Amino acid sequence: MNKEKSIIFLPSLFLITILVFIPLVMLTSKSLSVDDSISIANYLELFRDSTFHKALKNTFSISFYVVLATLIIGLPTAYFISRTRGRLKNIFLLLILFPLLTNAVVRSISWMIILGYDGILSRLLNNLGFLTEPISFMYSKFAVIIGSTYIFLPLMIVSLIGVMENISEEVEDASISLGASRFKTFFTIIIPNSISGIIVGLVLVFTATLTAYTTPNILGGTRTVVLATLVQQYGTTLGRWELVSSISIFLFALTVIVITLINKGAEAVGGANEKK
Amino acid sequence: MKKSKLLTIFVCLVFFYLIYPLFITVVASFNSKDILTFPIDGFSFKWYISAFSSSYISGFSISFRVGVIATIISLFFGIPVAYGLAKYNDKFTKRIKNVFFSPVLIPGIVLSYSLFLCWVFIAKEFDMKLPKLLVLMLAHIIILFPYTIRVIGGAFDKFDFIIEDAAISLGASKKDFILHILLPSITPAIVSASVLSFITSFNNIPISIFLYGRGATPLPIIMMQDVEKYGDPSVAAVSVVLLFITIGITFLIEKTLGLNNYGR
Repeated sequence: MNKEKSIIFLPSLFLITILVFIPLVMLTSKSLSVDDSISIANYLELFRDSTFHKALKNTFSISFYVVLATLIIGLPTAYFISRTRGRLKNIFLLLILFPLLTNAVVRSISWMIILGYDGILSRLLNNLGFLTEPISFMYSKFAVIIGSTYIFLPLMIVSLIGVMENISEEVEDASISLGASRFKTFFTIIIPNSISGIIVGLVLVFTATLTAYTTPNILGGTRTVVLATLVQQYGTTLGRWELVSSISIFLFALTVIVITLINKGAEAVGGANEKK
Repeated sequence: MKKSKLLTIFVCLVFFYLIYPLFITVVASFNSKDILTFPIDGFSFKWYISAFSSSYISGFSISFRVGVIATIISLFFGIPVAYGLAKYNDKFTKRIKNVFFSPVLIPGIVLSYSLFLCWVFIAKEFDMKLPKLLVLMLAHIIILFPYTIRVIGGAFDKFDFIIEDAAISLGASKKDFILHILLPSITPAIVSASVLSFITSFNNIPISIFLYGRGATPLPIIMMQDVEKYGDPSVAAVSVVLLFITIGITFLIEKTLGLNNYGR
């Protein structure tokens, strides 16, 4: 390493070592120690823990539904915005980006009002005759899914707009003038050409939901636990500190595995596309 | 290409979904009764007065200080790294890049707990309790670091490093080159990295979960605790104040940098 490189990189390497690597080593050793001896007992206990099973299942199913919902809502919306020009487009972008700049508590408060006991949704369903008495939708999996979708939708839309802008409108016009419906054009021209953006959005939304803490904590509480909220609940609320380290390591490993797998998948898809 | 009516209606619904909840929060903050509900029972400004109460104000000041200092330090460490990553293209640099981006792979709450373990270790082993505010700042620096490198790196990728050789061979010192050529050419990126970093730090909750303490509780944590208790509308009033600050910042980004540069 020459002199310039060491001046440039060494201070930050030092920073990362002190504030990331050493803490992670600390975490790993903590998760592997029971009464000052090395043991995997914490992990064995964790894998037998029924709340952990529930949290794991919730985390995956919530992430799955949120990715699905953001894709279904995001694809047409991003397409619409990518085909808008001028001032209107700037306003749309502003409306999409603005929520990304506000914090998750601010964005979750309204969902408490909508989903809470005798809240907006409960009253609406009562008025429509689907319910006979006021109920609460809070702390259910439904609440976490709808709130997380709301929070992470902008990530998906922003990832999609970039690639959709690059799809030539002439290709669409050609497809339509050759007799394909708009619907068919969307599915056979737009979506296949947006794959790279879809994958980016998928990774962003999936990992964001997988590791999200604030929204599941506010809208899911202790009834719908996910891995991230379980870390905090076993720690500060229930005092089961021996499990906190092993859940943390598990969540970290899961994130790395998921990101690696999706990226590998993306490379495979990209490679296949190039060969065509 | 013309858009179909069905698509237009669909997109209108999506924007309704994005905007309506924020509208509800704004209305709920003016409730005269002490519950979070919509529609409201009567109009009142009183929650805005309690929004400026001591706990929220001290939370704001903590978040503000942590955000500003973490932003500055992460720029201080991040700018040289972004420069190095753009300039050098050898195997070592490519490998080291992953190290610098590694914090994004770690869930915030996991990093928070790991740093808490270090705090406990230092407290036990060296009998030294590090101030919570300091630990919060260190944690936020790590969260911001990858963002900083990414945004600044975007500007350096467009920088032609032949200019550096030219400046040096014409007799400029390394210091002159950095102060008069390199930094001015990436000023817009530094501005947007600062704004983005500050907002990211200000809004981040998971990284603070295990690290806050008395006299060092960031605003979003205080708000979250109030929300968990199903508190009165003052938390909605605080949200509205934050919303308007954010609108101001968004407007500033739009005017100075253009939204198209943001978020890509």
